[in-house]
Amino acid sequence: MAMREDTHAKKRRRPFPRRKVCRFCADKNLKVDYRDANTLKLFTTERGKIVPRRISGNCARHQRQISVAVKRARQIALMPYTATTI
Amino acid sequence: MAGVREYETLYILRPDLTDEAAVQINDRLKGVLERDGARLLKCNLWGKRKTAFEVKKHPKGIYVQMCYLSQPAFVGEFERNLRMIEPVIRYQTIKLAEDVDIEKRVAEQEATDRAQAEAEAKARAEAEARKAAGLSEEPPAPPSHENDDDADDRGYGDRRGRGRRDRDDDDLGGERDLRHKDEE
Repeated sequence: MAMREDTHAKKRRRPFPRRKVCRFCADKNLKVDYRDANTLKLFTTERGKIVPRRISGNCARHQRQISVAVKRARQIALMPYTATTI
Repeated sequence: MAGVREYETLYILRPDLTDEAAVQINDRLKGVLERDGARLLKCNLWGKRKTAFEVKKHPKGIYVQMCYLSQPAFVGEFERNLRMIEPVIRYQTIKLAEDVDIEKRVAEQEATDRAQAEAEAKARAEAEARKAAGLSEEPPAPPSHENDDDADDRGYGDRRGRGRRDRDDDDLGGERDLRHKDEE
């Protein structure tokens, strides 16, 4: 058991993190809009949860705007609160 | 006098309503706006579309967007009216701007409306010209776009680890745990 952990630890080198760029900072014309459900969908999981910043790569400011926008879109039924149960 | 603000109200009507009835309700709300000294900026009927979940048992709804300038106190009155209109199944008001200069904003809106109308007319004229020339090289943008979105969406759960995993096949530990948590 101890050996297995050892080899596992050896293999677990930190992979090179890919530099993620906030797409709203990269394109100044792009605005966060709660009515644009198709764009917001990119920042939610298929279950409807908001994707965290460390994964989406958004900057703090735009992540804040996204989270507000997603919540607004949910209220007016443009986006799901959760995936519908089948 | 308190500052004038810009608001946007989105409301959903029952999907079984006819177009005339929807327009009628819209006119009634415009009357409310006028009566209380609010200034209508724009009003869009988005038409019938699927809601993300059932709203009052309706799988679809007619979306209507109204942008207006008004005193903050007016929003309550406007929403009270929405509540009284029975086919309105949901509404939401968003504040877009504070301390707006009415005349300036109205002129601005008119300018953007005009620009938009011109752009649309131009696009239409170009499309017609192309049709007349017998060319159909227009890239089929909308359908492929939709497919694209879906593919992206499905990929999201995976994406948490995929990029890294490709580079390091053995390292599944932490990333995988995270994925499973989300899918529960």
